Formats: sequence, structure tokens, C-alpha cells
Amino acid sequence: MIYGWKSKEMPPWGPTISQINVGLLVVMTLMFMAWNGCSSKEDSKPEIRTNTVVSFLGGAILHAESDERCREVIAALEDMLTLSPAELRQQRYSDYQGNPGVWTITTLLKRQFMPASAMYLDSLQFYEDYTTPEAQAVIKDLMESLKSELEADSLGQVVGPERN
Amino acid sequence: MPVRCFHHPGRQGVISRGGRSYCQRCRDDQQAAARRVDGHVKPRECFVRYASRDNWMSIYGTGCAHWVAHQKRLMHRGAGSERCLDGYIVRIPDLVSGAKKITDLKNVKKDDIYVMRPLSNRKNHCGLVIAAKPDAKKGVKITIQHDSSEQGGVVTDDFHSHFKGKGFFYRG
Repeated sequence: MIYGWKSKEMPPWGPTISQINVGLLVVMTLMFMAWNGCSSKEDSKPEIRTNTVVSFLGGAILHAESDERCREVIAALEDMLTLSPAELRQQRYSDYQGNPGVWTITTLLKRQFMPASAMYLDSLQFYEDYTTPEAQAVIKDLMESLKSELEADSLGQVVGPERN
Repeated sequence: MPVRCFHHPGRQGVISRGGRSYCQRCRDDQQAAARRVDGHVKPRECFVRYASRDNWMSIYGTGCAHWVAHQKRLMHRGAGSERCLDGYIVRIPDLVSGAKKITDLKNVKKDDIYVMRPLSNRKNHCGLVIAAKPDAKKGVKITIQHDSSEQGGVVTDDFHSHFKGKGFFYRG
């Protein structure tokens, strides 16, 4: 049995010096870790498992100038609705300049879409998440929106400033 | 009191950008991430953001709104949405938030912001008016400069021919 020094005022069940030292060591170690950048403000957020595809595409804006780019993105979204992860991994899409077979699906999404808020699209997680029903619903909704906007563009329904 | 890194308070800040200080490790990672940014993005070196645990990454999407924000010095305010390393706006809705919509093409002026489609659309593109002059045929000839991913950088195009006379103008 290990005994430590106790103050005369301290009751017999009070902490020993060795107990205090261990406690202080733990507190100081935790303070050091926090202060020394072991975790940043963003890192310290609790890990909540969210569907990365839903987070990324829900509310995202497609940055595209031409109808051709929009059609390529719609084709990619259609692939996300119909292809298996193994098949989708093999697919390649054209880049900004229309060079065919250059980008993977995740590169295409990252290069063309700006998500509603800052986030990281993990490529491995993407292939696990895009087949879930909630992700498929978001993909379908986005694809339908882009199709109808493309159709409106071709019909000249994008109006001038006097009618906006 | 020494300036500390915005993301790592235990580290000394060696550079300040967009009102925030960053450590040497962040600075190196910012430069590495900037090298992965697509060539059309101008300026390129600030189109990066902190991901987590010492990782910096290029911002997603194209650089059209970011370029306009730099030209007009439109800083991102508030939390929630994305900003570049220098603190400028990168999203089209943020760019025209609070701006006045121009309802008559005749009133469009240099430095107005051009947005290709309605803000409610899921796809969009934007640019900056660099000239607006009376024109016998079109009423007004509007020249737009924009950071084009498809044309590979900042280019100048005519509103009526390149953009088919479609789109919206904002001032502010």
C-alpha cells in the first residue's frame, strides 16, 4: 500500500500527493494537446455520420456556361441513378473544355458544383453513399431540375432583366 | 502578444491573409493546394480552404463568382457559406445578395454584375460588365468579362452574341 503526505488539515480520506500529481498531469496534458494544435476548431466538432452525397448535392449550384456542360453533368447524374459503384468507378467524363474521358465522377462533381456550405467530399465515402435512397432522391431531384432548366434555355424562356 | 495560427493556436502565425493568421505548415499546405486549382481560376493562389487536420484543399466549383468578387472587392461576411483564403465571396448568390437588380437594359453600366440565369436555377454563371454603350441595332451594346472554365480563363464576350442577350444585371 502506498501512502502519501497529507496536510494536517486534510481529512484522512482526502487526496494524497500522488493522486493530486496524477490529476494535475492529466489536466496539463489535455491543456497542452488543445493548445498545441492537436485539434483545430473544425476538428473538435463531434463526428456525426451524414450522407456525403446528400450534403454535397443538396442545395449545390452547378457552375456551367454552356448547354453542353450541363448535358454532361446530367449524363453523370443519370449514371449515379443507374450504375453500380463498380461500374461508376470505371466511368469517365469530359473536362471543362469537352475533352472526353478525362474526369472521374467525383472529379466532375467537385469541379462543376459548388455546395451550399463548405464541405469535403470524400471519394471513398461517395461510393458508399450515392446508392442510398436519400441520396438517390436528391440526385433525381437535381437531375430533373437541370433537365427542365436546360429545356427552358433551349426554348428561350430565360427572360431578360426587364422581366426578372 | 504573438499572433497565433487561426487553425492551430499552439503555433506561431507567419502569414496573414483575409484577416486571419496562419502557421508555416498551413502556409505550405495552402501553396500545395493552390497548385491543384484548375488553371482557369483567377486569382488562383487564394482559391483554397482548410479541410481538417492540417489538410488544405481547392475550393469546389468554378471561379466565376470568385473573380468578380476580387474585381469588385466583395468580401464574404458572416458564417456558413464559403470564402476564399483572402476572404472574398465564391458563390453567385452571395455575390448579388443585397444588390439592386437593374430592370432595364438601358440602365446597365460598367461594373454591374452579370448573372446568366435566375438565382432560383440550379445552374448558373456570372461576370462583370466592362462596357455598356448605346447601339443603334441592339439599343445598348454590353460587353462582359468573365472567368470562364470552358474558355480556360478570364475572357471578354458580347452580351447579345455570346450570351444570346439573356441574363440579369445587379448593382451594388
